[in-house]
Amino acid sequence: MKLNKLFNRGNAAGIVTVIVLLVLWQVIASIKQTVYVPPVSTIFLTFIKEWFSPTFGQQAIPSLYRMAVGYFFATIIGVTIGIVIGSFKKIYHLLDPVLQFWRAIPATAIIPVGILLIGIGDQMKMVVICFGAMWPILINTADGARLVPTERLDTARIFGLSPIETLLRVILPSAAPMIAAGMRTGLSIAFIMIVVSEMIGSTDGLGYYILQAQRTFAIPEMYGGIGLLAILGYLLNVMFVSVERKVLAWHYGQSTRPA
Amino acid sequence: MSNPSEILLDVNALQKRYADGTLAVQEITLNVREREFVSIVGPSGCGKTTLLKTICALLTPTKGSVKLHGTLITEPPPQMVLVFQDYARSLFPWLTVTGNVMFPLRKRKDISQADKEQASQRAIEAVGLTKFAKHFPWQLSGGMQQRVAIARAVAFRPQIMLLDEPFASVDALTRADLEDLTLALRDEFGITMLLVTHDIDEAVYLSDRVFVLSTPPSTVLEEISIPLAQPREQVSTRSEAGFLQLRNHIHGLIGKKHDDGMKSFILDTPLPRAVELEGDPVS
Repeated sequence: MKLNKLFNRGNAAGIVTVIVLLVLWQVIASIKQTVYVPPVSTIFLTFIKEWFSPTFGQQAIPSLYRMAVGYFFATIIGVTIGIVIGSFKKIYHLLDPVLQFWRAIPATAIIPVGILLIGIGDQMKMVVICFGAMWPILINTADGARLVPTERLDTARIFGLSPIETLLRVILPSAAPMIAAGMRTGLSIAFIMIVVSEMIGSTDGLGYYILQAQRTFAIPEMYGGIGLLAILGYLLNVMFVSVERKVLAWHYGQSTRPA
Repeated sequence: MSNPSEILLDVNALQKRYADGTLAVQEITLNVREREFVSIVGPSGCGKTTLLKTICALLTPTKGSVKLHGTLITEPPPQMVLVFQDYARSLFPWLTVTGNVMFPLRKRKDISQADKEQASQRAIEAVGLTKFAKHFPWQLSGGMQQRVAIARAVAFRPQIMLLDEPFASVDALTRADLEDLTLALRDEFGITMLLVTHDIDEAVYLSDRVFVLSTPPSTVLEEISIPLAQPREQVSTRSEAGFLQLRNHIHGLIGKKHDDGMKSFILDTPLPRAVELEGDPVS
């Protein structure tokens, strides 16, 4: 299904553009020989050599694993707190200033705190990823919960639903589109956070690999690593969107209805 | 109605004042008998929605009481259901028509799944949407969506159905269809109806009795019996001499003090702010 998406008519023009740009790069790099921007062919060969080898398991897998755990907890915590804030106006008023302050802090700035408190192991990265990815999820969930039409909540009361049932059967589905939007943003942030946290305090992972490559002047390896990041990020997004389209099919159908 | 039946709903000296002090409903006393069709008519902003929500126990009255079969109501009772004016905001867009109609039955453990499906099918049939059972609400027109809301209310097997200006958001032709549908549902399922509307003709056409409300803070101006011929029919009923008499009488009641009354009403009456509504946890 993903391959289908890659090769459908709309994307064909986009892929041609990418190929043209790569060819341009190749040509320019071959003419202006510089160590810092090797030709695409060199990068491509290095890419194949590196990432179809145990290096993938040593560097890429740890990154993906940390990101997955951090993102998972970001979702759980973000949605839970978001629902509570969005459902109870008094709590919203109470916590809003605090939340506005915390979310303003760029998650990357938290990394030194993480290193001091937790060290430079897997846990620090997961916590930092969670902190960064949590905010868009939390805020979007709160908005989604707050914007459930009163008529729907009243309907739930009229039909005798308990508060838990109302939460699971009315509030969550109503808020789902906004939660999904928050989760998509959170995913991008998680991706950034894993790279940065691995550049600053790590002994393995993609971020570490790229920075090490730069320091040891393994330039094609560096670009190869960045290329792998791009591919992984793209694939993650495609997977997310396809799941979202399935689960929220009812929502996407709505926006295509005639006026 | 020739033989007086038992009083099902008894609203006594009901008052509702919002948290910010606005008096929406001053004192309303009315009752509804079994299988009766009662309408409440009043000018816009006279607190009709607030009144219905208070009767339904979605809001707590400041004074007075609401009794169903003689029992005081404090929580939305299972014998009562409310159909909202804005169907788009009350239906669940993630469920199909069938899903929406079956939703109120989920709590009922005493009914088997097969019975639930049958009940919802019957309700969907009763409102004429059998062909659209697997559609989503947004795929349907406004009138059809309101039918889904009504079917959902019917599937709940209520004794009494409250309707809050249910046909205000649909076009005139659809409105006539839905009016007759409501009458048919009363006859087929024996559901008592309490309808709130600003449309005087509609109130007279549908009802056995009409309660006319004043401008806010609202009280009952008059209780009017509608002895027009049953069954009601759009053309013949509305052509009866009695029909015109009754509607003109009600027009006169509501339109009284039109000049300065209306002006001061528009300028002085604050609209109830949604945030201050009691019992409203979200907005």
